[in-house]
Amino acid sequence: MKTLFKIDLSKHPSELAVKPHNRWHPDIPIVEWVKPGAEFRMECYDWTGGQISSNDDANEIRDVILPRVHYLSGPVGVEGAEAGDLLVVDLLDVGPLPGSEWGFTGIFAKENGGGFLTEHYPRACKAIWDLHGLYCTSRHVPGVRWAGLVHPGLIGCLPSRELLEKWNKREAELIATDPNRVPPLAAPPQAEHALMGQMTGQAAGRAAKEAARTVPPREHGGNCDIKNLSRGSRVFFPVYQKGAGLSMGDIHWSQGDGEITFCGAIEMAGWIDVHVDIIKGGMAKYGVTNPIFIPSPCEPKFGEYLVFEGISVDEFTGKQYYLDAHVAYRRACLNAIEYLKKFGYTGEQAYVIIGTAPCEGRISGIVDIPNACATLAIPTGIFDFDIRPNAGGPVRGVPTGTDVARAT
Amino acid sequence: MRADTWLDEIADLVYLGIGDESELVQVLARIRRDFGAVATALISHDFHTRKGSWTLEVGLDSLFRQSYIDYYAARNPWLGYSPAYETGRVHVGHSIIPGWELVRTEFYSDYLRPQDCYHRLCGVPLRLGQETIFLSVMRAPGQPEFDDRDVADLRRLLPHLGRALHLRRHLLRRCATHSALRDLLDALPLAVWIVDRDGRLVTMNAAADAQLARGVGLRLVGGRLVAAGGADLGVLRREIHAAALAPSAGGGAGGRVTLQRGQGHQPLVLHVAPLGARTDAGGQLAEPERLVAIISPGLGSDDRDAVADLARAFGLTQAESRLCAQLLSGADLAAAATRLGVSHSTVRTQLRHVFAKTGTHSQAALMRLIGGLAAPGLRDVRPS
Repeated sequence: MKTLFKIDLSKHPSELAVKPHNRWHPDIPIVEWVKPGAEFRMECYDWTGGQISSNDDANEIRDVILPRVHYLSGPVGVEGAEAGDLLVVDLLDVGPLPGSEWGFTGIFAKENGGGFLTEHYPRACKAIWDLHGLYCTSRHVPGVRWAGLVHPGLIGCLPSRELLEKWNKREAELIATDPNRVPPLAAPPQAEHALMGQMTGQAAGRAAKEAARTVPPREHGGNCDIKNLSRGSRVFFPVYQKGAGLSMGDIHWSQGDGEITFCGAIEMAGWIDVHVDIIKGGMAKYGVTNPIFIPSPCEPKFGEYLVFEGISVDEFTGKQYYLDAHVAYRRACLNAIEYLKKFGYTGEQAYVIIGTAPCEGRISGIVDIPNACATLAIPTGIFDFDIRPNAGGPVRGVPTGTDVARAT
Repeated sequence: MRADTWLDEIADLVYLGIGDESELVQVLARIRRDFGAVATALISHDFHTRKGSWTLEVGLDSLFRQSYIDYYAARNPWLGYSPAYETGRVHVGHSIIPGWELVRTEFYSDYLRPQDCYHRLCGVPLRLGQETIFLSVMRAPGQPEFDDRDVADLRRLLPHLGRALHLRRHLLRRCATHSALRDLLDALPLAVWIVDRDGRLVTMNAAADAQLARGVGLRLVGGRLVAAGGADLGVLRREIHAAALAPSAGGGAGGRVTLQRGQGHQPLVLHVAPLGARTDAGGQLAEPERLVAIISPGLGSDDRDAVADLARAFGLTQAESRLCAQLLSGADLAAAATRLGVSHSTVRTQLRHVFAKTGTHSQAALMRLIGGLAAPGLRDVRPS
């Protein structure tokens, strides 16, 4: 297996000879060309490019410079790929870099990115995870252990110029409705801290000014944060640019549906083994504009879940929302956290668990006016103790005195 | 949204705006409606000093007017590329600054957003020296961007708007001058009438109006200014006619008319002077007609001051001054001698001296000279 993209964890991404990129732009140069059918390895920084260390200092999370993220390895060009094709990507395997078998989870401060429950948990916190072969544990979140569902949080192809302009236009229009919101409604282009891969000089500066941030998922894929887009799955990416320009990064050891703490997965540096192929004209043949994928045959197996329901009613005001799945899923998550706290977890620990463990989030009902119904299913098997309800009431299973690391 | 007849309809409104600001406001309101906008504004800007202000607006919040002048005009990122502001050009806001940059600016978050403005269509109807006048049409975030048709329609409207604004500027300047001159005339202690060659009153100042009301020397008959005393009718009419036909205005042209006011009153001395041409007479395409000013010392003037001025200017003795005052009050030479208690031959001698000193050769000429001195505005004609 040839490694097409190598990283060096002792160096900042910008110090590499072949640099990652942390923006999307059609002019970012292809770093390697491969033929359809090629198999190769891509090494990737963690999404922050090494801003987080394996220690108990949560100020690192508080101080993450978000305009630096996400550092992506690539883009790889696939010979013969043209706009309108589908790029077939087999994620042959994904794993941590040797000697770097650890990961981190952050609850981001409301003022610095926030998270799904930022109104409830506005302060920065951190949990470190240790990886043991297939399994993970955390000194900050005791009482849980599960097998990883390793996946790239972010993978996709370069946008065309037309697509980039479309993104920038629509996202700016959204920001315009409330430009001072905290957290912001979207992340507009920002030249500062942009790393444009192998682009240099004025061209890089000009492109950085308009290059799309990597924060949201878009038509090309990108930061989808889909836990089931894991090793062993096959993804079909729409191609918008000659050569496709496949880039990837933001590897997660594991994640719950929604990646709700924002940096909610178990984030790590690692490698991704890839096989690529092309379906000529596949976008039109299948009517595809966003990626489609076939999940892996290998996923952690859980026989039982405890499922929490949520409805679209605001927890603070009691206001009824119309079929709002965002509100409903938030309520389901909050219900799960309140439940887990009965077993001795702090709110932040419980928040981290449902953000990192392979919890299943579902939109269960979206037509029953006025309430959307969302569910969060937690595998009971990840806990060292029984979390199922019974007549005896909850029994504390978490050692006292443990907690996530908190920012000062 | 805009029918084929749109331009014709709005152009009519635009030209009405030349003389009436409220019609221009209607134009802005109509543009706002027809472009589905939240606000429209005519804004003036100087790209050298980076100062600007709202000229007229519909839909903007007046609370922001002053802050635009004091602060945001110099920070308006849409004004960062002056070539877009050539006369007749139309552009959309994002061609100057993309939306994602705009939303990061203080100008957007603290000025545009509170006024619900985001998309912008801008056209430049007029540049006057360093001043650029542009029309901003604003839509809210969430509304569609301005498209090619919006740009084309505004571009077609701009020449009309430019001409109307240019004429309006011109008219306003003229009005301001007219108003200042009017104020000046009213402030003078002179009565001034302006008439056409037939004596038809065109305008007059406050003192003239008051003098007419008192029926002193002149009156209005059928809109014409005539001498109140029948004997002088022809004199004034002829003098007006002569002034109207004079080859050039100003420069001391024109003459004087002395109207008798009966026993016991000094005669009224009028200065009749040709003025510039009147362009609004008759049909629009008629020959310009020369106007004539008739200037009277006014009732407030003090004859004694005039005599004193005469004495100072020409070195008259006290006796000669007293004689002049008597003559000015309407007395003839014999009556003056009696009133002054001197012989007839003495007053004749004194009068000869006065003629010699003042360079006059008749009592009428002397009276005109004194009458002129009684009009403060004409004192500059005195020989030094």
